[in-house]
Amino acid sequence: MTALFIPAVPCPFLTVASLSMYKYIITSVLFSFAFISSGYAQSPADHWMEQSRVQKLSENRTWRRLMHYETSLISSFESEVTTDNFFVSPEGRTSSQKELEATIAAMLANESENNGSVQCRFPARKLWLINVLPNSVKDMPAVNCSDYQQYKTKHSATSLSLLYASGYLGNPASMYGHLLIKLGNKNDTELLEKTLNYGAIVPENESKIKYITLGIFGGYQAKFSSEAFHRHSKIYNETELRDLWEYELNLNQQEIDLVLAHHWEIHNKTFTYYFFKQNCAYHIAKLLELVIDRPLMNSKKPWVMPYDIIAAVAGTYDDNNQTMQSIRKHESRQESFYSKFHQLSQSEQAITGDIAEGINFIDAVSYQGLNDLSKKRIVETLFDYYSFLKVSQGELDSAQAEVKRKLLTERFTLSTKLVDWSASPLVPPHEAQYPSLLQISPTYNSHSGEGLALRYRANYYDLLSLDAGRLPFSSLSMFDLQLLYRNNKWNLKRWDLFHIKNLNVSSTGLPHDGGFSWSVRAGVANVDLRCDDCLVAGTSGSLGKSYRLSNSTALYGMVNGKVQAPDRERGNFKAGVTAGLLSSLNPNWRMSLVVGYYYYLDDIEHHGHTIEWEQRFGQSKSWDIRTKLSYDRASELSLSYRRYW
Amino acid sequence: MKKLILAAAITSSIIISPVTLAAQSGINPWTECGIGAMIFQDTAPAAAISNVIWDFGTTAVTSAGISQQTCEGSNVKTAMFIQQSYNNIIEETAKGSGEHLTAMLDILEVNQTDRLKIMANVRADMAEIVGQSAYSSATTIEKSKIYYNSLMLNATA
Repeated sequence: MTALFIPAVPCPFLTVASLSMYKYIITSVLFSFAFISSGYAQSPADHWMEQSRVQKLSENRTWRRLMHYETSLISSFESEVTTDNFFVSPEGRTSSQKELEATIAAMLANESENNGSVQCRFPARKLWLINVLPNSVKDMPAVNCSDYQQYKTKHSATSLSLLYASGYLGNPASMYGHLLIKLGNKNDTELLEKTLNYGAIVPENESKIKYITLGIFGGYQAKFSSEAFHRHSKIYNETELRDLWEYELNLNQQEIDLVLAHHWEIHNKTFTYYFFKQNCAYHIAKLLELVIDRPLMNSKKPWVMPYDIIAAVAGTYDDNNQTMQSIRKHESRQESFYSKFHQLSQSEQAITGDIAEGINFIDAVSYQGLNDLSKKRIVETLFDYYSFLKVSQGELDSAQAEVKRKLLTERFTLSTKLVDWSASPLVPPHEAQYPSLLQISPTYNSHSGEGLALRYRANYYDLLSLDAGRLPFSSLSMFDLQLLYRNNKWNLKRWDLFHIKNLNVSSTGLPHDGGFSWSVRAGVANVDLRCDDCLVAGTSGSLGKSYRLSNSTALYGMVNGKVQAPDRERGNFKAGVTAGLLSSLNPNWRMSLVVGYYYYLDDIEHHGHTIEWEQRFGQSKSWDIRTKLSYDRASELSLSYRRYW
Repeated sequence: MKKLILAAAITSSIIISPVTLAAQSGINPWTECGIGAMIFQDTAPAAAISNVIWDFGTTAVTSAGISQQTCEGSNVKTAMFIQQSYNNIIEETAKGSGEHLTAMLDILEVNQTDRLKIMANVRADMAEIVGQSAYSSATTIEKSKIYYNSLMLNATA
């Protein structure tokens, strides 16, 4: 606060200097009246800055979240926003106090330029300031914020939902799913509702290797974007055949307004993107943590996954304060096709199959004899089937396109009364097991004796996991480390960098439903079960075909190949075949049996057979019991307790 | 050749020429705003890029006499929506209703009271178009144009 100073100058002689002096006196007097009229002994800005210091507002949780301040093991206290004009103070990036004081001063300053004021640029900070210093609003001058008003009109919402796109094995960056926010508005058609999305800014035609490398090591900037929901419905449901799960959040209007106001503040700002932590899940969670007073990220892990956020949102807490209000599923085309097909009667399924296989068509007697409803059920199921084929094959061939045209023509002739399809059973993804694993296994090896194995898997799930909301009959493991204690020493037993398997099981038996089964794996492992100290590094792949025996049972066969080093007196190139059976006998019991035969291409005298029979007991999200019987030049039996987190 | 057959089918079934359509809808979004040349990004990482197209209207103006503002109108957005969601739209049109049709009419700002009649007429038009064997070999852009033309004709009738 500058003290009011009135110099003693003689009045009669008005020189240029004295004129300036009088201007200064008049201004000072006016300012002093302004302070007096505002009731402060200092300027309003100084008053509220002082109040912020008294209340230690620069340490306030919401303020720090609005500023995205973070301290980590490798960086000091700093905002994660990388755009300079996000900060009002030149030192705001690293000083919470200076940024707060500069913000308060700027909020109280006059700004005639439309959209130019700090009030317009940072409406969430303003909302927060009014909340923590309620009377400060009286000192904030009126400003014109036409851009923000336009944004508010476009982004009005009466509810917010977390949208979770299920994992997609077709793209490394999408295997763990994706998160975004959907704005609900009772007055809007759902497809036109807005979404808030976060993603890396990736140049067009970026190579996959560069994309993965820069994505992991912070080579990209990232930003929020806003689009209509139909864009995501098109991308996820129609093009990538991924389900979208909508978790509506339990928020009041004031909380919704704060989230949207903050989105305005950061919509044109950038952050550094890191695939494992500062990713979509991280920033979407941070946005919601502005108004959800509990951590949404799992602090026990150095990475952030979309699954962790939906598990936290859907979790129950001691205070009975539910974060989630309801769950909905937006089915992918593939899921919609499966759901419809399994609602058909047996005769309808048979006719659907005949049409899909080109045996019969809609002019056949079997179809023409059906009533209007059955015809619509068949035609609409085939709509989904051909839309699914268009994606899975890349494009419909000319014969398929002609069938689709005839189906459309047929549907035009049928009544417009809608078919009352039932919704498919809701098993939301947060009901799956937690992705990280710790396992302890007493083991017995026929060659080496007893031992104790410890296992740590960073993520995600295997063929025997609960597969709520996940691609059935698939597995996705990353950083899977197994150590073995035997004969008074620890040995590395296996370390998989990744292991992905997709049996691609057909759900309907219709042509092209279910492609090739495949798997890829890279890591280090003992060459067989006979040796505890014979590690080889290698990559392997499999290709084959699977057949669904029932809803919960599949049979598959694969051809395998592996390149490994050192050769361990066996060879560097391994080939073989495997046959497997995967079955859920009941929700508490699932088993996998795999038998195989292999030989070394560069040393054909070395060959053998393998067996793996593994069972899961229990259906808790956080634990289960496994038994495993294996054979590869020695037999091994283990009983495992698994803890998921 | 197939395109010619299709064009003939359009002319004979909807009985409208492109010139008449342009006069009625005021603008041809495909030729004048360049949406036909747009490649709709259909993978997740492209979301931020497509956002620019959808929400800020930066369509590629291709005609010298057309302003950027003209290409941000509801009819251009409707044309873009039809092109992006054509598969859903034609299926729902055949069924008689659906969420994509509602969204399309919302974008075009069609009165609730007029919707049933407009869509009944569009349904009749498209039934004829789809009935032509040349339809199955037409591209999505070609089909979208036909649909858009039918919609605009019936919406402004």
